[in-house]
Amino acid sequence: MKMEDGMILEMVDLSKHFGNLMAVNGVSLSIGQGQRHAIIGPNGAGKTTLFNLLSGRFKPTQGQILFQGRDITGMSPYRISRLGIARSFQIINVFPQLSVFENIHTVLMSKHHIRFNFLKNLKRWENVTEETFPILEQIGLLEKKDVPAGFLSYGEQRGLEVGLTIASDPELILLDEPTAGMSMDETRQAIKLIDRVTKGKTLVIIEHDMEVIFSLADVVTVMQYGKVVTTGSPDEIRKDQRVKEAYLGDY
Amino acid sequence: MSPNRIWNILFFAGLFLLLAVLPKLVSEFRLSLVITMLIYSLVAIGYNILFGQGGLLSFGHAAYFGIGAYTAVLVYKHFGFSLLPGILAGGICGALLGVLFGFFLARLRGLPFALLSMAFNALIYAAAEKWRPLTGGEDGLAMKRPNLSIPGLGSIDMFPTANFYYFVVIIVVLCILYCWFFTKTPLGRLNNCMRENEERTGFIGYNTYVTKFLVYIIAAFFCSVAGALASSFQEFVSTAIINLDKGGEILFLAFVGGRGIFWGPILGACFLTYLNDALSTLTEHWAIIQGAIFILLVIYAPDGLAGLILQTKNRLFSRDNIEKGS
Amino acid sequence: MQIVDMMAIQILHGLVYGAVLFLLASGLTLIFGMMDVLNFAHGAYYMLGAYFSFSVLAWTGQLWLSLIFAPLGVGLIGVFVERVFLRKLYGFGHVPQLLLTFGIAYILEDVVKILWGTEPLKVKIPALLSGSLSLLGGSYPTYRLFILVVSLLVFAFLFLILFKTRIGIIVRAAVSKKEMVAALGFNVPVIFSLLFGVGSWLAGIAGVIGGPYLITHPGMGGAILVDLFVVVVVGGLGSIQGAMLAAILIGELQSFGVLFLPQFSLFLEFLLLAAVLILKPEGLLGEK
Repeated sequence: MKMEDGMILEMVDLSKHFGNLMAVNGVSLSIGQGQRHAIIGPNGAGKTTLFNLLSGRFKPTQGQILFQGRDITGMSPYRISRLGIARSFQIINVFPQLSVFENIHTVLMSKHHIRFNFLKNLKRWENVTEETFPILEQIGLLEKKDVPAGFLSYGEQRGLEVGLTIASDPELILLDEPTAGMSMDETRQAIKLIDRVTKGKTLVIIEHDMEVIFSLADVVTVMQYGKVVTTGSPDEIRKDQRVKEAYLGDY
Repeated sequence: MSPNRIWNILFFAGLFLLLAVLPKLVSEFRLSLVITMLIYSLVAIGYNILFGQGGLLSFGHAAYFGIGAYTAVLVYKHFGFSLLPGILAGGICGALLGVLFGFFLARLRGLPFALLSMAFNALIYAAAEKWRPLTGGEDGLAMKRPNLSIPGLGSIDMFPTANFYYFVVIIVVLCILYCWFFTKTPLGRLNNCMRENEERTGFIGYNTYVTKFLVYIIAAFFCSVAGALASSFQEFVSTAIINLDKGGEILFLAFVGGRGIFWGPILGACFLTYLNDALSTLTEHWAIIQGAIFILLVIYAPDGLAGLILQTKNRLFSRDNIEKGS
Repeated sequence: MQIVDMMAIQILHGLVYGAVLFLLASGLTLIFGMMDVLNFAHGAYYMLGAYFSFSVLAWTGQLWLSLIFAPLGVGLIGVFVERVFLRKLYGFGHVPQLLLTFGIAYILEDVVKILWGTEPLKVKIPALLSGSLSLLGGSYPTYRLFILVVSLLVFAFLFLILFKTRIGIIVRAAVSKKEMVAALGFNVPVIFSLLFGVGSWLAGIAGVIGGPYLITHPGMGGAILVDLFVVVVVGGLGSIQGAMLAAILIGELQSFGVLFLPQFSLFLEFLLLAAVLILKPEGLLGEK
């Protein structure tokens, strides 16, 4: 399939119906390589559903998804992950009884194709163990590496959530409301973290917090009722009348 | 070397020593009880790979215990196998059945998994009852325990309980050691991840179907080996070994002992075997007591006896230890 | 006898068994749909109904007394179990509930063995019902027709309550959206207990009428449990219509299966279950 140059991800007329509900309705959107692309819109606009389609959680009712020239429409999540797309979740989705270290270590195992071996002790893959520490440091959880993930504070769990997403060194990172429920301080830390860990990669981020968007995004797409309303730079979007209407005022 | 390590070494050294000299210390009857404890420890540990570690509740594992038991008896009777090949055959047949059922079950989790596992068990039970010529139905099959043939060393008579005891100890200890090792392997880690968050496991790049499938087969293998040991021990097998009650017993062993800790099922097996023996002399209806214990644990101590012990230990030594599942 | 008549008789057999299954499945699926609890002890309640009925009939010889009091007793036990045990486990997920109700079933089976012995019991059904009627060129056991009649009456009663009364609307609403019902001010815990009682009551009725037909013995709960779960899953957890459809399906499968492929009727049933779980896990008429 031919993709536009410089585009890493292309959605062609993508739709997802649930019975009569058109959660995503004919979305055609391209994400440029290395872009930091924010997706905003009121609740129910279809943003998370879009992520679910991109990451393989749902199969589209219609349309196509192309990643690096490859058609990934309807692929299962594990295969999409192995191709280099990783996503985080709006509701924290970690492994609660596993330690922080084990959480990240498991992602790295996958990256190194260590999967179904039941005859060799994990510790023997020293390179995987070594790679875990820098990532723990990046997300600021190195000191808490032996704490079970379920015992972390909310902000720390959000950090781990991001960590799980970027640990496999994916080319395309999808973050779903990574700062949800955070205080202003925590949000600022999170922005720095996201900036750090997504350097040189392509980032698509769903957000409600305008400060995050203005700090991070190059491009903003606005969605409503499952459709794309408009796409532009953060400044353009801020001034756009349609966007204001979509949100019914507010920020 | 840390104090913890020293304690562990002393503990296991003591344990193995005790196991080694046990026949000299106790009566044959008690030795039989210990053999039963060992066999049930193995089936509970095997089952717990799926249940406690993998988070998959199966009501159908009596089928594997039964297949192992039947296979052993049948290969002894019809093909003249000696003891060890018989046990292995039992394990392998169980694993094969695990492949067949696991193929369907690995797609599921939670309630659907539990229900389908129960349906499979019913299927095997019905098949065993119908093929009377082969299985002897409810009346069962009897046999004489075969010798243990070791190439080069000749044949050891397994009729004396002490001899068979040593055989069981070796097999069970080896199997349990492997199961412990399993928790440290990639698949063992994945198994735990599946319990914690199956969906996320898929999203970080793992084929969850294959994971569950493999784990299911491994658990089936060890449950079947235990079954083969059981029928070799009893010198008898009948369809009663496959019914839902048996499946419930296996579940009890793992749950009562404590499914969140590796050695929990061993504790459960030993405790329940002992209790069964002690109470059955007092009352026929020890099932009610077992059921009551089970219910109390489900409500008040879902981490089982092992959980209670560890909680008490933590409180006594007031360490800030955070206990995690194995 | 003509082949059509023979088929009709077989279909009738299937309907009779299906009727018992539906009585059981409707209670189970309602409980699951509303409370998200799969009651593993449902088979045990069925057993209790049969045994209570046996005793009432042994004392009084009056079937109508048994039909009134035996299911009532089971219903009360159901409420007791829910209030004392199950209530403590809400919100903990399916596994603890399955374990708990499994434990209850285990205990109940042994209690029955203590009180009534381990041998199958011969239930004293009234002479009026123990004969046969001439039907379709042959004779058909009256008792089985009785099962159909009672079941139909219970269905009609259920249907009336669920679809024509206020409390029925509340229950149906709660089955699809329990949070809304709580938000509207209804006392959800009381409704839960009531529902559990009604579900167990239905199981009790199934036991009363099914016991003489399907043999009253301590293992009867376990024996019907597999078919019961297959019905509930195939029909769709939470769907009464699904339970009816699946109960008829399984009933006929058993009836014709036993006739044509006696070795394989269970195998066919399992195949159906596996197919549904894989292709449409929410059941034929269930909702995702």
